[in-house]
Amino acid sequence: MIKRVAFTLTELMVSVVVISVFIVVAVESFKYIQRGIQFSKDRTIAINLAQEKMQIVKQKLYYKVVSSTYTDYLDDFNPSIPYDTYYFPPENILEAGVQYTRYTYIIPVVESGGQIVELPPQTPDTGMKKITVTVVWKNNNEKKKVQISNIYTNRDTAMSNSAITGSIKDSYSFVPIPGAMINIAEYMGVRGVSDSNGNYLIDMTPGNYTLYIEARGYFPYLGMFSVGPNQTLTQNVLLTKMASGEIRGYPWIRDHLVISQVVGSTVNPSGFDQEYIEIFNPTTYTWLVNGNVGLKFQRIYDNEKKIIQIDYINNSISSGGFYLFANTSPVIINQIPVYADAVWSDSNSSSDFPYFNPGYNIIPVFGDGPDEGGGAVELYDILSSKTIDSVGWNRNNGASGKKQAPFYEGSAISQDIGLQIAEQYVRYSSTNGPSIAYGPSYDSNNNSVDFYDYTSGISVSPNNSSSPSKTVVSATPAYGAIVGCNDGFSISTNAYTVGNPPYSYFDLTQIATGTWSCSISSNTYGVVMDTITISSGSITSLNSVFLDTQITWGYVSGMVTDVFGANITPAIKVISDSGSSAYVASNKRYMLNVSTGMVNVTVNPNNLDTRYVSISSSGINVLPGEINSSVDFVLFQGGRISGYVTIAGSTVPLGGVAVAIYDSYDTLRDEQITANNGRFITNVLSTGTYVVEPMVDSKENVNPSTATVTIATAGSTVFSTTFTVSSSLGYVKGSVKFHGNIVKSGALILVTTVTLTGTPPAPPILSSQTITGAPYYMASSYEDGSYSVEVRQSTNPKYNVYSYYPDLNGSTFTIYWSSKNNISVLGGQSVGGIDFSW
Amino acid sequence: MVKIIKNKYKNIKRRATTLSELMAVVVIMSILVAVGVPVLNTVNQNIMMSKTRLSLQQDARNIMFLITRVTREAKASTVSISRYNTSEPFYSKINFTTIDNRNYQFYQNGTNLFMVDNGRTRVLTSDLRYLAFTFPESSNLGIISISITLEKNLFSGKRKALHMASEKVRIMNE
Repeated sequence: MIKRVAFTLTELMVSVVVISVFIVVAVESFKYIQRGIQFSKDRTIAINLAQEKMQIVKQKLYYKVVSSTYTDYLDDFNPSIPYDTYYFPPENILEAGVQYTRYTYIIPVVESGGQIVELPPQTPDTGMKKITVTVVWKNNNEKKKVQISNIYTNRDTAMSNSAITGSIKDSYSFVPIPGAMINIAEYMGVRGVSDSNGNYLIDMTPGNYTLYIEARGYFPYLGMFSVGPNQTLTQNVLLTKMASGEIRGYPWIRDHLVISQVVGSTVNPSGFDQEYIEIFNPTTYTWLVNGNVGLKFQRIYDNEKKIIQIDYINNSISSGGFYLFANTSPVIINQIPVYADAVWSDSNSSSDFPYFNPGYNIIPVFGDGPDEGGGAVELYDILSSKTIDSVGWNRNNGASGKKQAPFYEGSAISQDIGLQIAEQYVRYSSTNGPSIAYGPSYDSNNNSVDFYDYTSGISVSPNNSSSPSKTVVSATPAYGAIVGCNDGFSISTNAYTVGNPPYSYFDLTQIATGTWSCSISSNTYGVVMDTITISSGSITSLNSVFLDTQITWGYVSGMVTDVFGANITPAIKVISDSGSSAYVASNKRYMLNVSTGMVNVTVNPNNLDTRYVSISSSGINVLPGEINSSVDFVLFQGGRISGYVTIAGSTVPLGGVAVAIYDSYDTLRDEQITANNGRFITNVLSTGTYVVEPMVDSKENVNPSTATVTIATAGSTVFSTTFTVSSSLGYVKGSVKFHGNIVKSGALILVTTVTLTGTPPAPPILSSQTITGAPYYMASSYEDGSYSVEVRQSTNPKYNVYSYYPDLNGSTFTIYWSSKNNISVLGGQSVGGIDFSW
Repeated sequence: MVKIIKNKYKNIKRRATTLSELMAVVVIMSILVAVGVPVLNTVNQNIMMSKTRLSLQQDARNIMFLITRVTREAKASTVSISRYNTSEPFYSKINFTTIDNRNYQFYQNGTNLFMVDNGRTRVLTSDLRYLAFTFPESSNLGIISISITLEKNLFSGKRKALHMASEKVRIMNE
C-alpha cells in the first residue's frame, strides 16, 4: 500500500504555477476591462467636444459659417472624412489626458423632395448649411471617431417660398413624359423628376435661373426664367424626340491560358504509350511558359495534387498559339510527328506517379490499375502558385469513393470508366463545339460543358508552338459585364447569360445617333471601342467582343454648354480630382479617364475662362471600365465682386469679416470672409446688380453699411468699396504656470481697461445693475495651461490683464494673482505671450 | 520472492518533504511575493486612479449638466457673478432667477460646491478645485462660460486625479 505522507516538491511547484497563471490571467482581464472603460470614457468626452464645437459654430453669425472650399481628407477612415483646413481648421484638444483632434466640415445643402441634399461647396448660398464635426482620438493605437451633423439655417432667408412647376410632354404626340430630370443649372443638386403625368414641382428661393431638362430619348431643353418672391411660376416644356439606335453583342473575357486537349494514352507506331496535354493562348499577348507555367496532376487515389517535373524545350506561347506538354517528343499521331514544347522530366518520382517508371506515364487510363481512369490536371502559375486552368474527369463506375474527379471547374467531365486508351478531350472553340478552324478557347468554367469527348481514336491532332495561330471566337463568357456609351442618353446595361452551352449577351438601347465611345467591362477586364457609329433606328451587332485589357479606371462623360445650350469656345477645361483633365469637344461633350471609387468633376476650374462660372459635381461612383455618361453641366456667365475691409481710423486691414452678397430679390447669393489682408473676392455670380453687406455683430460698426455693385460684363471683377469697421474683436493670449508647472486646474483671466484696486485687485460683482462703462472680458485657462480672451479693439485706453490662480492647501485656498498693463489690441489680431507664473 | 516484493514496496514508499526542499520552496515563494506584490500594488494603484478619474469625470459631467440646464432658463437681467466671501476665488458664485421665478445660486466654499435651489441648499461635490463663472464680454449677460475642475488626492497625496470641464451657456431669456 502506498501511503501519502506530505506534499511533494513537484506538487507544490505545480500549485504555485497554477496560482501564478490565475493571477496573470486576472491581471490581463483587468487590463481589458480597463480598456473598455477607457474607451467609453474617451467616447463621452469626444461627444461633448463635438457638441461643444457645434455650439461654437452655431453661435456664430450665419454669414461667418462659410462653406469649406479648402478641404483635406482624413484617410484613416472609410469612407474618407472631408474637413475644412481654412476657416475652421482642425484643433488639437487635450482633455483628461487624451489628445483629441476636432475636424469641422461645412457644406451648403438644400431640401429637395423632403430630403436634405448636399451641394458642392462652391454653390451659391442656399440659406441652409450642414455642419459636420468629427472628433478623432487614439485608443490602444487604433483611431476612433465620433461624428455629429447639424443643419444651420439662415433666419434671414425666406426658405423656398417660390416654386417652379409645369408639365413635360412629347413635342409631336403631346404624350406626357414621366421620369424627366429637371435641373436648375445654378444649383447642382436642386432637381426634380416629372411624375407619371409628366408634371413637376420644385421649391426654390426667388432669383434668375436656368432650367435644364433631360429625358431619356429626347433632346435636352434649356431655358431661362425668373421667379419672384412667393411666386409659383409655370413652365410647360415640350421635348423633341431624339433618333436613337442600339448595339448588341457577346462579351467574352480572355485573360488566361486554357488546357485545350488532354490525351492519356495513344500508342505510337513503335508501340510507345504516348500521353500529352495541349495548351492554347486566347489572350492578345505572349506568355513565357518556361519556368513560369507548370502542370499538376492528381489521380483519384491521390490525396493531393502532384507537381509534374518538366523539361522545357521551347520558351513561350504566342497569342492564338499552342504549347504541347507530352511524355515523349515527337508525339506521332496518324503517322504525323508533332514535336513537344516540353516533356516530363526523368526526375518525376514513382511515388508521385506510380506508372511513370518505366512507361513515363503520369495520366493513368482505364485498365492501368484497379479503378484507375479518373483524374484531374491543373495548369498553374509557378511564381504565385495560382491556378490558371484545370480539367477533371470522373470514373462513374469506379469503386465507392473513387468515382469523382479530385478537382474540376463547374462539374467534371462525366465518364463511365474514366479516360481510356485512344480517348481525347478537346476544348470547344465556340458554343458550337470543337473546330480545327478556330482557337479552342471556349471556357464557361464548367469542364462537363467546355470539352468534347472523342472516344475512338485521336480525331484532332495536337498542336505545338510552331503550329499556325488560330482565330479566337469565344473565351470566358463575361456574365454581368457593364456596357455603356458616352452619348449621354443611353443608360448603361448589364450583359446576361443565355443559351446552352451558355454565353453572355447584351443589348444597349436608346443610344443617341452619332459616333460614340462605348465600353464593356467585367471586374478588372474591359474594352473601349472608340468609334461606334449609331444611326437612327439602327441595330449594330458587335458579335463577339473580347474584354482583354486590364482596366483599373473608369470614365466620366457628359455635356457642357452655355445657358443657351450652345457650345462654348474656346473649349472649356474639365478636371477630375483623380488628376485627369480634358477639354470639351465641339460636340459639347467631354470624356475623362478617372480612378474608380468616388470622383468629383470640376468644369472650368478656378474660372480658367473668366467669363463663366466654375461648377463641380459631387460624388460620382465609378466602377472599373464603367462610363458614367450623364454628368452634364450648364455654365452660366458672370463676374466677381471684390472689396476691402479696414479697421476704422487706420489703414490696417481687417481679416475675418463676413461679407454677404444679395441679389435684387434680396436673396443671399454668396458670402465670403475677408483674408488677413482685409480683401475678399466672391465666386463668379451671374451678371446683374448686387448689394454687398459686411455682416458684423451688434457691437461693431461698419461704414458704409452696404454697397451696391453691378456686374455688367461677364468675366469682369467689380470692386465694391472699402468698408471700415470699428470695435471689432481681437485676442489676448498666453499661459499660466505655478512653480514651473503648467496650471491644469484653471486660472481666471480678466481683461479690462479699468484699473482694479486692492490686494488682490478685486473685480466688481457683475450683474445688469453694475454693468456700465468699460466692459470686462473674461475666460478660464484651459487644461493645457493656455488661455485666450476675445476683446474689442482698443489702443487708447490700453488694456490691463489680470490673472488669478487659487492654489489649494489642505482644504483652504490661497489666491495668487498677477497683472500686466498697457496692452493694445487691434481688431482681427492676436496679442500673444501675455504669460503669468508664480 | 516475498522478500523482493517487500523491497520493492520499501523503494516505492514516498518520503516526506526534506528541509532543503522546503527551504527551496520558501525561497521561490518569497521571490515570487517580492516581485508580485509591487506589481499588484502598481496595478491596484492604476485601477484606483482610473476609477477615481472616471468618477470625477462623471461627477463633473453631471454637475455641468445640472448647472447648464438651470442656467439656460435664467433671465439674463437677473444674473450676477461674485464670490461667497472674500476668501473664495473671484467669480466663483453665480445667482439668478429663472423664467419660472425660481432663485438659484451656485457657489464655491472651500472645496465644496453648493447649490441653492429656492432656499434649499445642497452640496454637489466636495472635490472642487476650481470654479469660475465668467462673461466672455460683460456687456452681454446672455452668454456665460462655466469652468469646473474637480480634484481628488490619492495615496496620501502622492498622486492627484483631476478633471476639468468647461462649457458656454447661452441664456435664452432677456
